[in-house]
Amino acid sequence: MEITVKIFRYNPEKDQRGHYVSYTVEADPNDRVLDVLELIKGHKDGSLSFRRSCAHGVCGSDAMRINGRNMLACKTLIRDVGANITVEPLMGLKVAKDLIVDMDPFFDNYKKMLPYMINESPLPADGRERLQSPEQRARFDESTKCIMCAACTTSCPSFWASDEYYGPAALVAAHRFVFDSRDEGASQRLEILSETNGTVRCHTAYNCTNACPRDIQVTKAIGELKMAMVTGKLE
Amino acid sequence: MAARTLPIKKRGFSFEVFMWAFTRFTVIAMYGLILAGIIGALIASARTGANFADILYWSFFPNLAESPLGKNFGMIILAKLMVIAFVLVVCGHGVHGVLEIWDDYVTSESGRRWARYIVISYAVAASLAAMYIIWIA
Repeated sequence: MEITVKIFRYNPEKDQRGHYVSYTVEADPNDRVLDVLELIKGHKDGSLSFRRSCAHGVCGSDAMRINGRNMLACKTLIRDVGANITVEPLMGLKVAKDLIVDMDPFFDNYKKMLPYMINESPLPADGRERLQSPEQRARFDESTKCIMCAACTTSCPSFWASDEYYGPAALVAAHRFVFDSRDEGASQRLEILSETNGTVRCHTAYNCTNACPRDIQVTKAIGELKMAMVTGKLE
Repeated sequence: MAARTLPIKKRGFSFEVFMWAFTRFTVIAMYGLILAGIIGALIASARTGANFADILYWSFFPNLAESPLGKNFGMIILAKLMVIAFVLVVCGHGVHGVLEIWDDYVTSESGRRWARYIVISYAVAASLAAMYIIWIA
């Protein structure tokens, strides 16, 4: 089938502002948007820039706005988006070139969540593992699925207003450790989350949940963090 | 294994979180008060044989000086307290709504701090004035 792909283009060395360029290409309905972008870059316009790596929905590199919705280009089939496709960079982050955005504010916010295990207690008697029951593991299982693609954060109206808001992805990272029974840094993280740019900036728009390519219930996770602040319960 | 519960001081329960929780409580209280107002108006209108317009009037624009149930001092005090409670929760909820919108546009720390001073001062002043007006009505 013949499809038309309208792509946002911006070269900071040449362009004052972004513009759109349309490409008409042959594609199979079962092709992915990433395949089409590769086709355009390989055969039509080598200057087109976009991020991609694993191409199988695991690395999270190729999150972009496809027909107005944040998606992974490698997980989006042509048959699901139609013959007229508009591809744009993620919103809320500065465009570096074409479909590539500056991810620094996103990862800066992620780092603020102390995204690593904090446990100063002595190791168990056998000196090996800190054991955890399947139920305790299941408590934060969902938030371990995050691939940091930024689809959720860049679909959030609060993040569009200010990238100082930590954003859904960072809050999911906090959730992953706050509810881990082996972790002892919950109070530090909740202290950080209680700041003006923390959980209170979430207005439960649910854009993040809709955008997540891993089907993580992001808004629910943020709600659980809010409840933990009020009740103190981490189970 | 023991349940993990953080003590209050370690929950990060800041002013912002308090305002978030308060906003949720106020909206629940608002629904409760609206329901109580409508039920009260239905009962009062049933006793006095009022029509639908009267029910709406007594639900949303209660004239405390002229109760359809007569000059029952206790009832009027209760009605005044109900209206005052409604004004307080509406004011509390509205103030936080204004701050939420403000924070979308003003991201500087001082800007946000001053917004809180101004809006909360206004809310306290408006609530006090409303309470006084309702009480003397």
